[in-house]
Amino acid sequence: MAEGAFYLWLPIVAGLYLIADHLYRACGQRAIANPVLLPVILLIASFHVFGGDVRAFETGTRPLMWMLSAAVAALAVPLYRSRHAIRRNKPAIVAAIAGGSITGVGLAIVPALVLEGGSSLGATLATKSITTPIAMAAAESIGGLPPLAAAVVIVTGLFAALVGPPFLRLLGVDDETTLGLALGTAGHAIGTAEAVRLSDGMGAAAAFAMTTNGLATALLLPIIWPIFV
Amino acid sequence: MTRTIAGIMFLIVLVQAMEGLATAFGVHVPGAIAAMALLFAFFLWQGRIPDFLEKGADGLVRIFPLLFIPALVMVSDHWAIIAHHPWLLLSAISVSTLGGLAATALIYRYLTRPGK
Repeated sequence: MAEGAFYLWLPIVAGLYLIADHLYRACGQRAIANPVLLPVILLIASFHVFGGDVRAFETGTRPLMWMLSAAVAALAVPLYRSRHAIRRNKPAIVAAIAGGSITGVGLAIVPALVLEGGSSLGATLATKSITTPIAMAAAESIGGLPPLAAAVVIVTGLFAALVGPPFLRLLGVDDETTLGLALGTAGHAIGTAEAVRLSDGMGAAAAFAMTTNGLATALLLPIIWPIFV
Repeated sequence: MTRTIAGIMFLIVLVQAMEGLATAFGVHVPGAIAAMALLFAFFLWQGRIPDFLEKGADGLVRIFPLLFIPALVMVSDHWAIIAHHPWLLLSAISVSTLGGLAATALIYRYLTRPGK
């Protein structure tokens, strides 16, 4: 596509999303049919096959990036609504989210730092369990690669949503608060969406875990990261 | 509909303003995060969420997946890294996600076990 045609990208992306979202609903909103996958795979494949001007794409879809930042700020709303879900057992909830978050980040960066990965890859992987827009901002602030962070986060979320509930049942976990906290901490927005689909209580616990984990990681990583690299 | 759009516009402007303030003061906090913290504090203080912000936020959350499509497509820029470390990336993602899930669930279950 010619560079001058950058304005075509926004309707193309929106159109692909509407089709994918329709298929997602037709599949009973299962995580595997997540409406992000189809448009992303088609667009990346078309850039690889036809060349295409990625810069024009970036310019044309910039309004979506502004809305993405606005959507992060908007997470204050589910956070405020879920404040009652966490009234009981507050210290246990905070300890569980912190423990899950530290375990996740630790297990993600160790192989990257030990192997040939290099620190920009480690810095990218460190952000994998926080919701995409926060992860991109956090990755940028510690020298990671924001677009790769976005991809790693999405794959993490899908993995947590698909494998999380059966895996946790295998460990003997079956109450909705525990499941919700685990899905929100390890699987951010996609894990939270799956928790909301399973039950309201699980959704509220997941929303709280997702936002506090995202906020704490984004604020603490830039401070802690320089100590390790 | 008008309120939803007004809410979204307000959120976009608020984030850009916080971004500008953070840059001006040389603070390394993303504008969106600062805006989220500010809004949450405001809701707690007011004891409620203003209607247009609630509608705007719900509108954005509903199209959340659409918003990160461009970000993901830009990963094409880093294809070399992915092609170079596919197994490292996949194993880091799967092992750490399972670890994070298990740690969160088991810590919570341990701390809230009956009789404690």
